[in-house]
Parts: sequence; structure tokens; C-alpha cells
Amino acid sequence: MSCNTVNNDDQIIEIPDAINLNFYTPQIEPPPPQPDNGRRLKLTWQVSRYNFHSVDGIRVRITATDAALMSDKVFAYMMLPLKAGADSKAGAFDHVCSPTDLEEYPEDDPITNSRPAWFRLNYVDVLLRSRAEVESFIRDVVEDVQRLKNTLDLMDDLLPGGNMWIGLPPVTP
Amino acid sequence: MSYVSPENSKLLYGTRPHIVADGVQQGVVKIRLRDDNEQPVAGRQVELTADREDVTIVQPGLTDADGAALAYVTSAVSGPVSISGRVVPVATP
Repeated sequence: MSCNTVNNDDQIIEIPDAINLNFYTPQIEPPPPQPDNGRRLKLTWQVSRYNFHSVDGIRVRITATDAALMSDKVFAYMMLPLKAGADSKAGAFDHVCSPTDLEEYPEDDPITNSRPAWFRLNYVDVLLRSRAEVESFIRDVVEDVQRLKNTLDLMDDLLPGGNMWIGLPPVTP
Repeated sequence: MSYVSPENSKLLYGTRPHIVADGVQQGVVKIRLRDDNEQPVAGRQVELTADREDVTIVQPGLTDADGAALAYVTSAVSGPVSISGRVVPVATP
């Protein structure tokens, strides 16, 4: 342990390490979405009975209704063959739509001969193995639909992004 | 009586180092003075300087019982700035 015997009170003492700060000009902040812009969607879920000892699965159905300023068909499905090489196909739930999916995927049925054969429905009906899976599934769907609604809200407002001339700009007199 | 050890004394970030350059938001610099035994040195004045003229520094008061004092830094100009510190000599009568 060192002793503190040197009196340097009468000296200027430089603190050896400077610190660096960074001042920045923030990007334009997007305006917060309106508290209630009228866009809404109602999610209702139904769950089959489950008994730990005697039941091997749980059926969950989530239905979207009463949509305003957005489609209620927010669940993306893909047509898949029921078995390899078979002609008969069935829709399989894949994900909650993004805003782009809402624009691109048709409602109710896929476009004929489209690959992949996406389409949208207003419900999702799945079989799950346990209550934990059910709770997780419902939570994920609710969060995804909330995120979709928030994203659509943000897309209502356009902010200045930039501009450039293609070709020479006009000469100002 | 304890005397300031330059090696043990430091300038520290009191807030995150990225600050909006609007002349209002403040970066906080924490001064920590220690002696050779890592004990706090109270009652000393530290003077901070910036390497840019557009930076405003509200100089810290005397270090407290923990050897600490705070300074506040603002600027309306974007870009990095380096803050240095030195301990002012004790005035002799």
C-alpha cells in the first residue's frame, strides 16, 4: 500500500484520461399515432376442453371480427397438399399478416396457379398439445395482430424522406 | 490530509455519451477524485475544458465527501467532443 506523502495542493493536476461525448442531430421523429384513429379489430378465441390425464390435445380457434380501417382477414394461409404428390390440398395457417401481406395475398382463396399459394382468412383453427402451448399461441397471435395494427397506424403518416433529380435540375434564372 | 492522485482520479460518464445537439440537452460528466490510497478527496475544484469552442460547460462545484462532483455539457453543433479535466490548485493565503 502506498503512502500519501506528496503535497500537490499547490499544483495543477491534470486528470489523465479525457472522456469523449458525441453530440448528434436526431432524425425526424415520427409523430406518435393518434390515441384513437378508429382502426380496430376484435379477436375472440375459443378453446376445447382439456383434461391432463385423458385428453391428448387442445383445439384453439381465434376469430377476427368487427374490423375498422383494416381487413379482418389477417391470418395468412398457404395451400399445401394433404400428402406428397396428391392433388387435393388444404390451407395451413402460417402467420399473422404484415401490411404487405394484406396488400398482396387474396382473401379466402389463393390466386389460381399462384406459387406459393397464399391467401387470407379471418380465423385460425389449430390443434395444440398442452395448455402451455395454447397460452403461448394466443399470446403470440395477439401480439402479432397488435403489431400489425401499430404498423398500419404508423403508415398513415408520411414523413419527408428525401428527393433527387433524375437528369439535370432546371436552371433558375 | 490527503492529496489528489492523478492516476486514481477519473472523469466518468454521468449519462450516456450520445447527446442531442440542441443546446439544451445536457451531457453529464462525473468527476471522481481519489488519493493514492483510493480514498475520496473532498473540497477540491476541478476545471473541465473541451476541444471545441461551441461547447458550453457548467463547471462543477467542489468535490463532495465522496470525492465526486458533476459538470454539465451542452452544444448546438453535432460532432464528437473531448472533455479534459484538471484539478485547480488550492489557494494559499
